[in-house]
Amino acid sequence: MRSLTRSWLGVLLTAVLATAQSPLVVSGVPAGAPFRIAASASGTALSIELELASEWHGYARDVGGGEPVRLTLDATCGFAAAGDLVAPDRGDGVLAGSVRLTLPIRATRDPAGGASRELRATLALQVCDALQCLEPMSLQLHGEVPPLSVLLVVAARDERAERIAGFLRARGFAAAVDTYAEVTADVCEAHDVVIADAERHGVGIGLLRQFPRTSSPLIGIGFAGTEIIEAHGLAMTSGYI
Amino acid sequence: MNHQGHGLALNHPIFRTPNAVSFPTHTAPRRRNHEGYTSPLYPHGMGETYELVDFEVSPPASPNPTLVSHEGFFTDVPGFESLAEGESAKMLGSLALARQGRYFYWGYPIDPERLTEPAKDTLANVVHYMAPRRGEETTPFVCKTRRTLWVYLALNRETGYLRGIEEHFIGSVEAGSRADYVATPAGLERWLDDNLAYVFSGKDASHRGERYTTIFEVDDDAKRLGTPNAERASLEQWLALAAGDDREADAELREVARRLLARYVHPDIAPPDWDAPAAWYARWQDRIVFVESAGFWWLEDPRLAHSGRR
Repeated sequence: MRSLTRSWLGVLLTAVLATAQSPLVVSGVPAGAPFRIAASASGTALSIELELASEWHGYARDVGGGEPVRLTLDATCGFAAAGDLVAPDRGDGVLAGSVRLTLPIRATRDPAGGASRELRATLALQVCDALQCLEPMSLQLHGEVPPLSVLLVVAARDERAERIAGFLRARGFAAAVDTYAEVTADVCEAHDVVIADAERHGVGIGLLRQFPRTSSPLIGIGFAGTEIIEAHGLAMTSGYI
Repeated sequence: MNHQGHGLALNHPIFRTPNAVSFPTHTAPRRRNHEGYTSPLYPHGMGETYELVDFEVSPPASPNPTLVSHEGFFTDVPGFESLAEGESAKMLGSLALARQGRYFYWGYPIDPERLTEPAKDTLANVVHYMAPRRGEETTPFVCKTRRTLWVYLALNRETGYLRGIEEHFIGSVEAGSRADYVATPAGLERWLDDNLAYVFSGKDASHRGERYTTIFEVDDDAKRLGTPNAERASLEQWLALAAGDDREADAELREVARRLLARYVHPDIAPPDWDAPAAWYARWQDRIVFVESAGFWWLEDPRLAHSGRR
């Protein structure tokens, strides 16, 4: 149990440092359950950190043992899955030790309409040891999802930029503004979505072509978009007029 | 393009979630530059009329840029999404909204003073749609696709444009591959009929130029076998010949097939040799795609590589 506590602290620390996710409340965990669990959500993903006690395991998929883990979102909560549940796969379908489960999510209601940002989900889980499987469990998860963070990159912090940023904020996004001259890859990485905007001839092609490469999704607007996307080596700008 | 779009993929999430977008439409007669063409958003061509929608409140002071995808410039990129065409004098396939991997192209200004209300809803949806795509990979861009050569003929038919046929084609095709080319519209049409299915590029320095960045070549090996280089049936025929499964195959044909496999199966997924092609295909057949713009390769679908489903 001591080693479980130590590694559990590590999991918590990792989760806090690596993401800006909001914690979710987890309920329905039976007393004495041989695992610890924490859940959190951002605007793009619901994450679960599961720490199974030694000699106990769950199932990522149906391998003829216990029930595989399932994560479902409440259809009335304003969020829906945007992909499949991602679970570690060590080849045998078994979940053991420290496990991170991640479900990509997407808003189904526009926050600008005053829709709640509360997320509700159910985690179905069964854990087993060498001799027995405990009854399948149904754990409830709920909490507030933070707004998507959007980085708007512009030629200059002017009225036009502020109008666009204001529009994004009114639509429920946490919008920040940066310029082509100052933007860095780290700043892009820190946002859920980057929007690269510029009026025609509003910024030099050289600056556009040096736009940082980022793993963040990028929405390229007009001429600035074509230049940046082409510089990043994508076929879809192999011809534009 | 101007301030309008058409051919919208209205069932796509960017028009449905979280905002259900409703664009008022204007019906317009089909334009001459649409006639006789298809595109991913008009797979059967355009009808007598089409529906235009306004993304901006009025025509822009200068034209907005579109991505030129004329009938498939890069639509073989896995997961590529054509979502709206822009209204312009160009042929079908001029894209105003499109996505490749974690990149989205939005062809209109986003100043809220310029956007219509449905366009604002769509833009907000695009942000929601793109947010879960962090790190999503796509294929690299290495060379233009063979449709570039076809466009010279299409432009001539549409506008009488001859420079593509008389100059650009010649600059874009390796000399040995155009020895019998006659620089007239009829000559180009005949050359395309005979050779387009066997054209390739992107392999080495001989396929790159200064003025014409992509230099095409006709694959004599593929042409000799009658195997268009982008077709899966051709790949399977090469594999069978390379293995010697085909009783007709002699040693020379086996060598031709192995050259073709080396030319079109990307080194990242190719075996050290082609002594056991059936085993290689059993492993990879559900995971590979042929992508011209990536260098005319059979390569691993980046969506599968990204998901870790190996």
